[in-house]
Formats: sequence, C-alpha cells, structure tokens
Amino acid sequence: MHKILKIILAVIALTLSAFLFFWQPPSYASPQRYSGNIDLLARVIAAESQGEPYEGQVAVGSVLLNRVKSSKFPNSIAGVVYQPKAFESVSNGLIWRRTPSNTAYSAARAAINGWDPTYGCTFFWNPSKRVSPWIWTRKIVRWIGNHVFAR
Amino acid sequence: MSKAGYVILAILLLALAYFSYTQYSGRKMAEIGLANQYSKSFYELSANVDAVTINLGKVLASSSQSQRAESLAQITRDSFTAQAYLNNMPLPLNMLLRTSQFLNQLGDYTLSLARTSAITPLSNSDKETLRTLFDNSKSLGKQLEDIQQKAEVGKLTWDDLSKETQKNPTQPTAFKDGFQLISDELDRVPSLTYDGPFSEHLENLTPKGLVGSEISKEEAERIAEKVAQSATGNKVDLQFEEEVKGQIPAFSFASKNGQIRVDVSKKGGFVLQFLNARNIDKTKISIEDAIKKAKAFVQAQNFPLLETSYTLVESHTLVVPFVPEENGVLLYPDLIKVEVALDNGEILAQDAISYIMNHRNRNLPPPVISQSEAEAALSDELTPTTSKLVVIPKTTTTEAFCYEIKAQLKNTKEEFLVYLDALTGLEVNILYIVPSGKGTLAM
Repeated sequence: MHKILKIILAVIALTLSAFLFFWQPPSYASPQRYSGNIDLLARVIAAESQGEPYEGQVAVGSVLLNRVKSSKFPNSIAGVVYQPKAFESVSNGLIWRRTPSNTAYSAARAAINGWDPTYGCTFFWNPSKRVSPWIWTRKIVRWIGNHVFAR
Repeated sequence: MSKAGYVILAILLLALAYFSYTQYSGRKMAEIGLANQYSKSFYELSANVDAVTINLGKVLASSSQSQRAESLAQITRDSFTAQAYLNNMPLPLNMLLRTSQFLNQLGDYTLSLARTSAITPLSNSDKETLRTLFDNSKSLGKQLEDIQQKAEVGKLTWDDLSKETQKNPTQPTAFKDGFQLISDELDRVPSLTYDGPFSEHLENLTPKGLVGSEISKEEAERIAEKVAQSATGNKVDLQFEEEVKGQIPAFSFASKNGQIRVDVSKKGGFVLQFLNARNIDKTKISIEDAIKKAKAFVQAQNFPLLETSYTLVESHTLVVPFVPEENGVLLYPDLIKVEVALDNGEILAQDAISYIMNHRNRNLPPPVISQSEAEAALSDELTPTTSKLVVIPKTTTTEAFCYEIKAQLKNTKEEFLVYLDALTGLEVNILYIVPSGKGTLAM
C-alpha cells in the first residue's frame, strides 16, 4: 500500500516539475488581430456591454466617440480606448479574448454614423459595481440596461 | 524516505526554483518596459509644453506676420502632441480632464489664429489671451519640472502608481500629487471660447429648434405609441422608462421586450429618437418604395415640410436624411435621419437631434452671386450638371450659405459636389461622390 502511494506522489511531483519547467504564459499579441476603428470600437462595446439591450450597446459606442470629440479626452478612437485606467476590459485584455458578435458590430457602425442615445455623454458605469467615488459627481443623463450614462 | 524519493524531491524543488526565476525576471522586464513607456510619455509631454511656451513668447515678441503664423502653427502641433502624451499617463481620468482640455483648446485656438493671422493682424483681445496662455504654459512647464525632480520619473512602476489604498497615507506620491496640482491650478483658469471644435461654448449648446409648449408624460406616451404604430404597422404597448436629463429634456418609453424605444421631448413633443431593434437579413423592396415609407413616417409628425437628399444603403436597411427648407434653400444642419428596413418597409430608427439643436429661421439674404456666375467659377476640370442653394455646416457652430453644384470631372465622369459661398463666391467645401451600388455616399 505504502509503495503505491509513493509511486502516485512521485508521478504527481514529476508532472508538476515538467509543467513548471515548460509552461509558457499565453501571448496576447497576435498578428491577425490587427483591427481598424470599427473593429476596435466593436471589441470595446462587446467587452463592456455584452448582454445589454441594443440601444445600450450603441450608447457605449457613443460614449467613446463623444470622448474623441471632447477636449478633455484623447483625440482618436485608439487614444480613447487605450487611455490607461479608462476601461477595465482593455487593461485586463478582455477586448481581445472575446470575439465581438454581429450585434456589437452593428452597434459600432450605428455609433460611428452618428446615432447617440446618450445625448452627448462621456461617462458610463454600472452602478451596482464598485467604481471611484469621483464618477458619481458627474451629471447623470439616463439609464439603459445595467449602465448609467453621464456628462 | 528512500533515495528515489529524495531525487524526485530535488527535481521538484529545482523545477520550482526555475519556474519562480523565469516568472520573476519575465515580470521585471515587463515592468521596466512599461515604466519606460510611461517615462517616455512624461518627458515628451514636458518637452512639448516647453516648446509651446517658447513659441508663445515668440508670437508675443514678433512683429513679422509670417513669423507669427509659423510660430502659431508650431504651437498647434506641439499642443496636440502634448495632449496625446498626457493621456498616456497611468493616472485616474479625473486628474487629466482639465489639463487635457487646456492643451486641446490651446492647440485649437492657435490653429484658428494661425488661419486668420495670415489676413488680419492680431486683435488686442487675442494678444491678451495669448499673454494669459503664455503664463499658464510657463507655469505648467515648471510644475512638470517639479514632478520630474521629486518623483524619480524614470523609476516609476505601474505598481507604485496603482497603490490607491495605502496603510500609511503620509507618504505622498509626488507623481500623482503633482498632476492633481496641475489640474487644480488650471481649474482657476477660465476655458477658452473661440471658433473651433474644442471651444468651451460647445460644451453647453442650447437646442434652437425646441419650440412649443411643455407636454405631460401621458401626452408624450400617446405620441410615442402613435409613432411606434406608424413605424411597425401594429399597435404597440409602451411603458414609461425614465426622464432623460440631457441637453434636450425628454420622456423615454420602451416596449415590454425592449425592442422598441422612443424618446419624446418634454417641450414640443418631438420624437427625438426612435429605435426598433430588429435584425434584417434580406432586401425585398425597392429604394424608391423605402424612401416613400420614410417620408410618410416623418411627415406624419410635427415637423415642417421636409426634403430628402442623398440616401445610403447599409446591409438591408436604407438611411434617408431629411432636411427642412427656407425659401427653397435646403438647411442641411437641421438634419433628421430615418432608417427603413428593406425587407418590409418598417421604420427602424429616427434621429431628430440635429434638427432640434439647429433648426431656426436663418433670414437668409438673397445670394450675391448668381447661379450661372457660380457655375462659371468652377474649376476647368468640372462640368456642372445640377445646382441648388443650400446652407451647410462649416464647423460645429458656423454655417455657410452656398450653391451646391453637382459636377462631373471631364473625361472620367466622376462626380463631385462643390459648395461655393453664395455671398462671396469662394469655395467652401468639395465632396467626392463615391460610386457604389449602395445608394449614394458623399465624402
């Protein structure tokens, strides 16, 4: 009995060692993931508002585009998307792990064509999630699905 | 333990040590790489702000119009570059907003000055503004230098900056505090108002087309249901969702399944936005029929008589823009967009926000240039086909009263829309009509 236990332990130990020697972290950089503006917008919409009503997804896209237009934020879509500390789904890599659905692409196109259900908002957040207290000082314009939109 | 046991244990420990080392060094490299990016952005920001300060000084000191124009152009370029690097800082967004606005407005304002200073010399109020901007820029440069000296910027890591909660908050982080100070100081400086896309007055525009009396929530619900029925052909039951507190206060309604949403303005009862979220996957009706449906839908509402202009097909839907007219002149800024499903002619969306923000009587003077004079002023490469008088948006707040002349390029027959100012004859804009089977698209 004793011997079998020892063998099992040995196998586990050796497998673990092999893993530790040979494991490579997953790489997020991949050549075929290069994307244009609509792609990037669709990815953020998908990562931030999957499961939200269509209007909510267009609204998230509009917030990004309103930031581009605003003097207070970067002046390009890539600049707004990749601004450090702006979107959790960008900093944790979620936008590249999920493939955006057709709805997310439609929402991105609608936002780029000027549909803005937020009437010019530059902030949105999920009120039931933990956010910085400062963001609650923004003026709330409307609530769609799980997100609140503010200026 | 047996000898074999010791060997296996040794292998395990070795593997663990190897693993820990590769993880640690990998992470250290990534940290250094990232810190390098942040310091680079910081140093670039600092350098660009210094360049802006120097050029602002030159503008104030110079008596040569061309030198001034050149310095102003460099300030524009360096301000926008500085703004881009500023927004690379790993700081909470609220610390960067005002500083970002300052740099963007600086670039924008100097751009508008560079344009006009070629023709007219700087006014006294321009000089005053430039003097203030010079002081602000100098101060910003000094504060950045302070941060650089106190915060050992080159050694900053993401970890250091992410430590939001610290057990002993008596250790101030020079980097964060420095940027907060910059933002607070700029809060005391009024933001600029001028003719440009980042001007302060654009943050708070008033809707010019919002006329009529205030309506009740019930009245708004009636309007919403009427419009929903007109769009889908069926009676739709809507419920009140919320009050929208944006630039145009409105009541928002939605159907139970959320597919149909309608925003009705509190003043005047205008349908600001209508959405019928449905997936369309085939085209069955013609573009002409779709346009007819769109026209019937929009004219049944409380808008004046509207004309259509160029339509656009987007995967089985048609977007039809409508504009009002004043004495036959089409008013493009007062735009209402209607989207029609090309499978059954249902209305999928309406957006009347531009109309409500912009519509008003322009009291247009009669054109100074005649239509034939305008057509004659076209480039020799173009042959005009049709012309009409229109008002077009020039920047976010300025407009131009123009002849819109559709013209063909000689020999190749490519089409352009040329806009010539009806009062001065100067060319204001040119759009290239991209030929595609998808309706017309003007770029």
